[in-house]
Amino acid sequence: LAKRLLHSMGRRGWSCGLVNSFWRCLGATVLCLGLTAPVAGQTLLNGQVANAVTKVPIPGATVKLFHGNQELGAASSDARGNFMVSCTLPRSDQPQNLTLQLEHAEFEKASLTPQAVGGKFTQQSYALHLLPRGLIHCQPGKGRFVVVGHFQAPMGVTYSELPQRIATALTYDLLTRLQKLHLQANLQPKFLACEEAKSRLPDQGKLFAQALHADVFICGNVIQAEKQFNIRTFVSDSHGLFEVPLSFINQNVDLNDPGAAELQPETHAAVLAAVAVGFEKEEKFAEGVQATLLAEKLLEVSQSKQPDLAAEIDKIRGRCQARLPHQGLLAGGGQ
Amino acid sequence: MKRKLYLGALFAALLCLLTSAGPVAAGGDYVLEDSLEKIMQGGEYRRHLTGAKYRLAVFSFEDPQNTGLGDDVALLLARHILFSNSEFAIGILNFKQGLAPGQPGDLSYFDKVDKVAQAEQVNLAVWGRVLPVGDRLMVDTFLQLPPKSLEQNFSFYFSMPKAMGGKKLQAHMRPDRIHVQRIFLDQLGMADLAGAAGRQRHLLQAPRADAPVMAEIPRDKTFTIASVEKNWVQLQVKGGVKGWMPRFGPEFLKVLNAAEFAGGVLTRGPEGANPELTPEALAVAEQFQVMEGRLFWDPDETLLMINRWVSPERQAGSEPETQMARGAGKAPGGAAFANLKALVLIVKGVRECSRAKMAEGFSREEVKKNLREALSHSLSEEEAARVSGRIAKLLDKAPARLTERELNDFFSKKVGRELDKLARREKGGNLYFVLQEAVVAPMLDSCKLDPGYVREIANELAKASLDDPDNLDVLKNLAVLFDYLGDTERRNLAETIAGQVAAKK
Repeated sequence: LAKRLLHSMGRRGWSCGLVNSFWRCLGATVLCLGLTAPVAGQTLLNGQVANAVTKVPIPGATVKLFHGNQELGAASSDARGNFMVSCTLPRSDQPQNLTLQLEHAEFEKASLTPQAVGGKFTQQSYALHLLPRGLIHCQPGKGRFVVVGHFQAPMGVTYSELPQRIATALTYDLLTRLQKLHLQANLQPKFLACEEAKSRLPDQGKLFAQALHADVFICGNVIQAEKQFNIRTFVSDSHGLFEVPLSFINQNVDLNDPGAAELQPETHAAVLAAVAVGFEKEEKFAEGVQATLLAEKLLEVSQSKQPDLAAEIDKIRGRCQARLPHQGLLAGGGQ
Repeated sequence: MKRKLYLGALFAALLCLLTSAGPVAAGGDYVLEDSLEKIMQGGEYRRHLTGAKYRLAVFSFEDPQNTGLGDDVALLLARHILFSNSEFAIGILNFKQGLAPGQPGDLSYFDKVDKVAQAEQVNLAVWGRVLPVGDRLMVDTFLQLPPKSLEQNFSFYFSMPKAMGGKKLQAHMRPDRIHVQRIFLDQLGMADLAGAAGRQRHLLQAPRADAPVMAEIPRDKTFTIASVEKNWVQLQVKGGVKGWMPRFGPEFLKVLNAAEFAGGVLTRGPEGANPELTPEALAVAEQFQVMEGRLFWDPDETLLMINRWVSPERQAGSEPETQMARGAGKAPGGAAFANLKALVLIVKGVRECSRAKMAEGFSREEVKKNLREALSHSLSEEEAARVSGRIAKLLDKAPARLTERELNDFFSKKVGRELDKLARREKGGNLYFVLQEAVVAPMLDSCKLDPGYVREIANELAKASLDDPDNLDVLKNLAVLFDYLGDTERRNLAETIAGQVAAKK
């Protein structure tokens, strides 16, 4: 058992390499030695904690395991974010729901519910992601979501609540279009401003979208133009639709003009394309078709110069249409 | 209790006023959230201005930047609809407060309007949004047809001939949530709008701009249009003053083009091309023309009209004669035009078939038999026997086989006279049409279209369903067409999908 555990720990970064401190090695060794002669009923739960956005391991996170209100064990994550909680589990043949709590000063609290049967965990290892503090309200729950994050501005340039205004403008521009098609209320995307979501690089938008369980993450920056400002918008998605964020620009706008928050039809089309992929993944193919047709219409109206986006939207629509039961209505059953 | 009695009396008075004959206009301001709260609580909802024949809900335009012009646009639209349709009894419910979601996921916009419009059972709802963009104001106007109104006034059914199963094909106006107009007003336009709205809030002593103000128009009071003089309307406030108010036209305020269109939708049906409106408005107007009967009278012309929207003959850009744009790509309303095209092709086929049959002529004995049958549905047994006996005697003088023209002459002259006598006595003026129907309908009902022709129509419609998967008209029509073709597998599938879509809604 000790050999297997050491092998497993080695793979997880617990081996006593040069980079590890003497004390960490000593601790691990003591733990391993202890395990060679485990206390009756004692077992281990291990895992790794990482930043939900950057996926960088989080050291120093406190991990506690509870059965009801009773604390069964605790640990702290190491420099690689790894943790191991040793505990004695209740010896019941009935499945027991436990609670694993994670805390860190710079991150939102998180918990999950491991299960144990007959004194053993049904799953012994977990990968856990903590959201940076302040982002919890930007992760609203199930359904289709579009999150508008922080827009970087040059030093000394202030704008009032640009993400909020963009989210409000998107709500009007896209919800009205989707509601025109009688899209059910519970399937309509929600648009959320999240000023705390500060993406340092446009490429991080995808990570934010994934961490926040949003279909789309919009961020951008404000650039001083000749007379007024240009607002550059980056649209990323969590479904792998856009390998690099799509970038659009609103030129020469007054930052405090409400119209500055109105994004271009191409941006709307990109958002709808990502929402359509969300529908596709949920097997809501009819809704996927509707969203892509709307997106196509927007590109037509704007006489878009985004052929790649148009081609991508066409592909999504094709995939959704191929999965519709309506295929059976076609001559030859859609063959 | 006293307050309840007072309100009851007020509603009774409104009801009396609105059900009385003559042009009546009524308006009332209501708080949207109050109405919504009552609707959400369930139970009985007390509708407002229930007596008016045409009831319209106008919602204050969304005004996220608090320009103050949202109320003004709503007021101007409501007044214009009222003044342009003064021969009708119209009740206008003006709802205040916003339609935007308070929180992400809250009921909003069309869905919010729909709740109120359905509870109030209005014929039409109007709402929109004003937003400053640079130094201009963007004004969007939407119309919304509640389901009941859509079914009653904007739907079309065609019964297939009995020989083809006799089932109904159907079409409903789509979109039923219509973006009618988007315009941008410059500073001058905004000032005109605010000024015009200000002049719709009080009554003047005379129909002159410089006449003294008599009174503000009280809220929640009904008023009638007492008289109209050029661009002035004299209003009589119920139990109050009578005074003058200017009326503005779309030539002065372009935003009123949307009101003209809405007024048409509410009373007469939407009117045709107007370059100030969106392609959706044109699509709705043209669908209405088709459903109103054009597809019967002139299927070929109707097909040309539909093909302007449906590929491969889709027209894009502005039409030289009307300057009206049809947009590009897929037509507004999803598969609505494709569905209408299928209907028109079926009607055209049946029409040609019945024409061919009519050219063969009508058997006198067959006509007699059908007349007896038809009359038995409209008259008492005794009366039916008497009238059909008299018509049969007249028919005996006609040739054994009548041409279409002979039959028409026979009905319009001889039978017409006989029926006129009967109509004077029985007040049964529709009998002439009943009888004509009795002769023509069996001809139509005996028509059976070539399955190959119908299959082609069904296959095209099935393709269109991929672009508008939740279109119930399309799915139900496919079920009917496949049923005729004996394609039970595809019929069952169309019915199953239609059931799933209906459940979603």
